[in-house]
Amino acid sequence: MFGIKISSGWDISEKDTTSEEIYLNRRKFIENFGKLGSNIVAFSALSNFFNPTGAVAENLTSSKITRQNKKNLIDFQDNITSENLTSRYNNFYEFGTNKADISFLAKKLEVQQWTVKVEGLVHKPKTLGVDKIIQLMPLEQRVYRLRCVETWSAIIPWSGFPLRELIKLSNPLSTARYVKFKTFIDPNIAPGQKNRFWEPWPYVEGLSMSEAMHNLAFLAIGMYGHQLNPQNGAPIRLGVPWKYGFKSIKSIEAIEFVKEPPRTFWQTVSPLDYDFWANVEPTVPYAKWDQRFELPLGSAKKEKTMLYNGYAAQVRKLYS
Amino acid sequence: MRKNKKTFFVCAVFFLIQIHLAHSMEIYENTSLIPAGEFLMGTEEGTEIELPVHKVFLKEFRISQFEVSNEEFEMFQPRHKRSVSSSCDQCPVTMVNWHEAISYCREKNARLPSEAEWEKAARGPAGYRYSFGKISDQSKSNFANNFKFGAKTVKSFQPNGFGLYNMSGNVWEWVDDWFSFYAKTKIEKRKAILFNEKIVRGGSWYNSAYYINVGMRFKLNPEIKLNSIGFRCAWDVLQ
Repeated sequence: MFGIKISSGWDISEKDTTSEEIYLNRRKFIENFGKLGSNIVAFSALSNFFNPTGAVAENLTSSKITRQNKKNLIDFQDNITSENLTSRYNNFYEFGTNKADISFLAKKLEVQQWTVKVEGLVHKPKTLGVDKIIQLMPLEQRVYRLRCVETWSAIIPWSGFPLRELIKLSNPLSTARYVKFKTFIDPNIAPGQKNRFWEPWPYVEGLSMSEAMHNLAFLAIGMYGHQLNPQNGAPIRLGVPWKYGFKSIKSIEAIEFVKEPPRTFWQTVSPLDYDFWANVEPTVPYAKWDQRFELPLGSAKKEKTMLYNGYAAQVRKLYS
Repeated sequence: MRKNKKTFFVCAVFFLIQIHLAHSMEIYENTSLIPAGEFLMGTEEGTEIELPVHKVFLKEFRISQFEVSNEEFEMFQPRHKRSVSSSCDQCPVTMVNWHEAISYCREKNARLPSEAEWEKAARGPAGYRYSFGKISDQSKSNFANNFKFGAKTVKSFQPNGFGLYNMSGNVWEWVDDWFSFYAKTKIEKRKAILFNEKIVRGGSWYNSAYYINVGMRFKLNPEIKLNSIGFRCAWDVLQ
């Protein structure tokens, strides 16, 4: 893990050299995020975050994180899945069903001036710009396993912040039991939403409050040291590594606090195949796939699926 | 004798006219007459398949005020299995493919509306974006609901200016046309040959406002049956 050291229990093994790819991409990330808006403070925070040697403003949470991160950024190079793979092999049905096409088709997704609505059972609904969120949140970097329900897997370095920090900022009512996430709807730029018109767009996912408040639940704004690619869920996406990948909703546009478990996109499309929880469990076939083994992207050798995708020690209590 | 023959002939003609009128009234019950004239087809709010917005002239025609209901369809096809999302007698029939829809209409001496007829009728006399008006309003139509919500009866909500119900929302509706581009350049004509899809219009109970915009076009294989797609019939008006 990068940033605030929590428990090394879910860290992926450490190595000694910096990923050149990650290091070189930092500058690009900073430049690109500068385009997000004119919010100088947010921009400074990101500069601090991704530029370990740069001049940084004092008193920004992220500057502290950056210093702590410097060593941690080095840690995981040899285990990380190549970005060439994770950026070109994507499930993002809004843009189509062919994984190889998504990186091209998703280029139309306009992420500048993106906002996230916070609504439902909250004391005060609000709409936050992503640049404002970046300014307010304690940014850090984490390397997570990603396990797709289709039985492929990857290890990805994310940049972002714990979901619970945004929940605290949202100030939900005590009656809120679940968090519902919604992505964008724009069939004019997302051909999947036009061609598969019969599906219940926009994509919806959900977590229980206890899951959402768990330290592992993460909102990512970057990966591999730069801002998220559109095909990977720019500008802000969820990361819940103990669940199948489809739970980690991309390009979030609204977060709603609700009393009942929200009916998710895949539950609606195929209620017999998908449930609300979708935790990685090797002994339980899920959505028509045998889940005992997984194939890491870029590897020819299958590996055994781990309970809760290797995060059992951290999340088991949620379900006991 | 000759006078009797003449009287008999006049009576017979009168009788036949009465029968025809009664039959016509029965057929045209619950239909609206859409007057001849031009309207603007397409929408700037869509993609390349909805463009360009162009003028279309249509002769007058009649179109059903309501989507075909389960009860009506099952008199024609008793084996039809209702969808749980649209299960009541007066709910719109769904789980029918394009071929079944057109067969039903033919049985009623009707046809499916052409795509242009459907859009003109749905826009109403004022040429609105949605069948119920200019602005998206969930109190006026069945749309943007949770998927579990399902379809409402075919007579739900207020009709549009032509007296038609649920053209925006409730269930999608098959129309007669194969998909092709409006702008028929040489390339586009060539592209159109590649398509073997029919058109559905109007959106359904779970679709957002974008989909119930009556200018929007959606393509689908005519063999497919979905729990959110129904239809209504149309008639030529004899000149």
